[in-house]
Amino acid sequence: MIRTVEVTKDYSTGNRALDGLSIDIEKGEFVFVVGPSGSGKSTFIKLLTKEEEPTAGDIFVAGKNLGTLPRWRVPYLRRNVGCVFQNFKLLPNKTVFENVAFGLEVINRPRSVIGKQVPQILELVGLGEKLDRFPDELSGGEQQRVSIARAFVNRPLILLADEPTGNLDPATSVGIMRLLDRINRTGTTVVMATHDHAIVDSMRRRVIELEDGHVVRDQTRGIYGVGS
Amino acid sequence: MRVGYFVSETVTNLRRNFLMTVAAISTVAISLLLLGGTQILGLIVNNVTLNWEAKVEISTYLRNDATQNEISALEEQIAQMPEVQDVIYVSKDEAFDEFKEMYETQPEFYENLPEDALPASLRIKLENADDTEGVAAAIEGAPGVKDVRFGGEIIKRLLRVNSLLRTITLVMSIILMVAAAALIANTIRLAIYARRDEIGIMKLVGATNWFIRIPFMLEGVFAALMGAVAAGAVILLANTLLFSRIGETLTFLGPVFSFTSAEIVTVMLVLGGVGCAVGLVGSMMALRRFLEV
Repeated sequence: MIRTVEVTKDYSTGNRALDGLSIDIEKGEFVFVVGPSGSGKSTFIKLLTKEEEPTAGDIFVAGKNLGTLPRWRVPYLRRNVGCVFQNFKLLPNKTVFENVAFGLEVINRPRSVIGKQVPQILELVGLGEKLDRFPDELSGGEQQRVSIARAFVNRPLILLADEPTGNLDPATSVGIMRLLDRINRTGTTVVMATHDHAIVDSMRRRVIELEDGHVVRDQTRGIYGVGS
Repeated sequence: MRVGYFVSETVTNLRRNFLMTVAAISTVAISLLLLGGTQILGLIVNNVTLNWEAKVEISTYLRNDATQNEISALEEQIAQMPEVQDVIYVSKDEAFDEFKEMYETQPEFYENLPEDALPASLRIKLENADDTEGVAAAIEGAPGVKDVRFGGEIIKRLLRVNSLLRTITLVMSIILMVAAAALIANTIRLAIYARRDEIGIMKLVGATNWFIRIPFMLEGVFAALMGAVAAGAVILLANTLLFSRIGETLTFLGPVFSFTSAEIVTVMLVLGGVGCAVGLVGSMMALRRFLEV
């Protein structure tokens, strides 16, 4: 489902974020990408949606070679890859309903489908009562649920989450992880970058640890880190 | 297509970004009002010119011994010149009658004149007052012609002032048009900059560039059109309430402040066209930067 081959990424500042990174992720896997700040986690995630281009190496996502994917096809790639971020990235002047509906508007779903699917998915994430609220009227956990609903509403093959619990308290984070786990059980591949020890240790899923742009550990049913 | 989505998206955004919408509309209105003002100024200058030109004529005084044949041949020859609009023959009698009329209150001027004291003449009206000198020179010395007279220096000076005024209003129009375009484009850019996060998110969710662009462009055009309508309304109001009154009161100015409805409509169309084009191009150019994610 996701494969990177010898991927190197240099930023224009001369910073090397990834250095010959090769990772293979199968369909339906739940993978934590861990490591200290600056280890390359976020860069890895950004490369998968072609938000950034690698300096060298090949990236395959959902059967597409991103290096040869023309610019105008990128939006269609992103429709197969849902994204969840630490800062939620909701549209502040759209309601909860509209924020989620947007993911469907973009892929030309008719109104009737949107009117049915959006309340459904918001029910699933536990926000069935708050369709008409604006993001700033919600708690952080609720906002993250909205953003997960938006990422998942068009049933993408892959869900990428970059520090989704980074701004949330531990109790709220557990709820979010339960949600991601549920999404993973529907067959969606989930890749989550995090440095939240408690979460990684409790979930016991595949852990890929990065350091200075290298993979230093790849462990099925792993924990956050030895000695931490 | 997604017409429903684009329209409702545009309306919603205009409402939720109310202040930015107001800023954009008023910027457009003020810029276009200035542009419209110069257009009106141009119309005034044009009217003044037409007014002057209508008064310019060449008087060709005929010799007393000119034969009827010579006169008709001359009249024919002048009438066929492309620069000439109209030739009128004024006989000795007519000239004397006119003279009498002109000095009605001072009969001593004409009482002692013999009826045939004034020469017959051909009065020539030109298509374009600029040709006065050339035509006059061409007629001078023709058989039967005693003298050719036209306003001379004064006319030349008036024409020079007039063409200078025309150039100035044209240059002002162009400068203001560019300024209006820059101002409107900048306002749109600010409005879009304020929502760059929104664009980034749209791109991440998988929206195509056109999908993102169209509502923004519709907003830009809508704001520009509203501004154009506002500017147009002010100009229309000024025309009916102000200019026509001035024209009626200061009749000695001639029809300087009266514009045909075609002229006013043209000004409106220019404002609307410039507004729309700038709204469209401005929002497209402003978007380009933010779409590259």
